[in-house]
Amino acid sequence: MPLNLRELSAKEDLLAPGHRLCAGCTESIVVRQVLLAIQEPVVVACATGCLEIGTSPFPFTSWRVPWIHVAFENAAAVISGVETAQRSLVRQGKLPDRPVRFLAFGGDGATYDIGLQWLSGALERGHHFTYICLNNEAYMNTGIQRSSATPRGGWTTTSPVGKVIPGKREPRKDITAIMAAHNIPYVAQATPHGWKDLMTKVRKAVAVDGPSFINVLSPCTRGWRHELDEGIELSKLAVDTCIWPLFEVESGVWKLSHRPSRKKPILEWIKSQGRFSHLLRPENQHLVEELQVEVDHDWEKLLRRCDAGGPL
Amino acid sequence: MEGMVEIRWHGRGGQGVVTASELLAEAALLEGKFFQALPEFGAERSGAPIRAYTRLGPEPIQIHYAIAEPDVLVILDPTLLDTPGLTQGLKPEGLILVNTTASPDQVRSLLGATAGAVYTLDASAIAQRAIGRPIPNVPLLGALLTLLPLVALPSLRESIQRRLQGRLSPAVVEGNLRALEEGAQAVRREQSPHNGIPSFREPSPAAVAQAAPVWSALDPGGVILRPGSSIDYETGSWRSERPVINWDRCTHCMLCWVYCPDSCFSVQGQRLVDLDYTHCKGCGICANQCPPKCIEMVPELVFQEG
Ligand SMILES: Cc1ncc(C[n+]2csc(CCOP(=O)(O)OP(=O)(O)O)c2C)c(N)n1
Repeated sequence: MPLNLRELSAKEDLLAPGHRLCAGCTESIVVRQVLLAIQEPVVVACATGCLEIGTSPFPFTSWRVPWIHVAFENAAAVISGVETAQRSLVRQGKLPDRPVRFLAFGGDGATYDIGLQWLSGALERGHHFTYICLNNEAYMNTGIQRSSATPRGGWTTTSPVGKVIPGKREPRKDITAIMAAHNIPYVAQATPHGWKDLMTKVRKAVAVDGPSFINVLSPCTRGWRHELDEGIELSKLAVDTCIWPLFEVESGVWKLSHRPSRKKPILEWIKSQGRFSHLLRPENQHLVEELQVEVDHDWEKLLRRCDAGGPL
Repeated sequence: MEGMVEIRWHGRGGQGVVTASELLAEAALLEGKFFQALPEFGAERSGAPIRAYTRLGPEPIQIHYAIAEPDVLVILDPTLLDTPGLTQGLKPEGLILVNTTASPDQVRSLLGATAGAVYTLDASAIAQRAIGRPIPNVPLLGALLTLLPLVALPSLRESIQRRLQGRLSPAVVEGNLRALEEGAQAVRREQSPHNGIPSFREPSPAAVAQAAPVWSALDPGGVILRPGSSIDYETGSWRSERPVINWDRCTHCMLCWVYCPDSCFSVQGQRLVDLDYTHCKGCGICANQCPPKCIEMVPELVFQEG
């Protein structure tokens, strides 16, 4: 089926409404797009986090695909087990031999921090699954604590803004590059605004013979302090400011998916969210400049990687 | 205060529902009374309806569950007035205090023949004037104490000061105290007289059953066997604004459909045909992203008032 919204709209929605995610949450938008893109049967494992909590309050589930949750840190390990069981049962002739796509969803806390060694292990073992990080740049389910995905200067309840500290002091971790360094067949970054880009990447990711990873920026109204209707708009602004470049790494070859026609200044990004409001104070002006230097540096590095076709 | 009084608070995340229940309980603590303050919310997020409970009494309180048969209902958000079961269990002599611009008699006609006497207060407006944000909890507490002297007003003032001082600017603390006084003055009464609060009775067996789920009825392993069963859970009540489509201008581009967090747009034969208001949470992403701008967000109150 071509990636065309009218054609896709004939497909059954595999995530039912009635889930308890916040009004304006982008996590469910990402999940819907992922499930719409995939054309084969799907099995999903979820790490603990907003998505899992919001879609499965007993005795309800929003999922119309087989779905499993075990704990916060181990979604990659759980889906490894499910995928291995399926392979074994096919070999024993107990299940038909047909393609099934195995997915794991985790927040940035689950992915960048607590689940990293489990994810790394599953990638190295070479399981055939796609891991999707719903990156809202903090631990949102438990009330906005910093993670290693929280950007420098960002307010969270554990990187507070006060007289001494202007929000988080450390830069975020480049997990997408860390995933690519596992030499797995497919790694990418995407956003829900770029639905076609995201869906194309999902189709590539599930089709490769081995593990794949997609990091999807997922704006959060509560944690980022923006209006309920702005999530999609912000995921576009992140691309336009080069805060969140769209790219993919296919068999080790880095490729830019989109080059903004005009790179917007990071100030626009900072102004768009309450979590950065303190950066607009005169005494923090230098931080905004430093953040711009960091973004420019990362963007140039990405361009060199993409031109060279591989990491530098 | 003779027996125990049970108060059920209904509002939305962000309106100070839980804080209100606690401020009252802390005032009771200052007076040496017995109290409980319990919030109740599940996985719901901001904007979702939530409840809180306060019990106050002269004796130690031995029960520890949700309040099914309240003496007092405080409704912090007027858009919740048409929620099914809102006034469920309210004692016949009970009291309903609503944050709304409407009169008590208008609220009565919305609620129908439910038990209790209705009082209203435009608490959001009072708070907006006093603290610059429409957080209705403190003015409602002022109104409540005028209607029922559960604790003395100075005790409540003190519990507010203790809670807010150091956390908020002195101007905001002062503003809250003014909002408390104003709420006490401005409450509006229904025509019918109010009979006062009954003394404590044992909860009915039905109320106890509702509070305690039966573990033995659960499927082993916590397995949920009905795919997509959350469709039975109606999140439409979370909404304070409703997307309304101007069908003449709709180009059926399907962007609203692909960007909806709650799968609310129905499509038939590649055309958009309907919007599911039982689940739409009113986030407005569809209106924000619609290229021909044919979706307008209209306040729910407009529909409620007809
Ligand atoms: C081992 C463990 N530690 C802590 C928790 C509590 N906990 C549940 S969800 C969560 C945060 C999840 O954050 P993230 O992975 O970023 O996902 P989000 O909720 O933001 O989507 C935490 C800390 C837990 N469930 N298990």
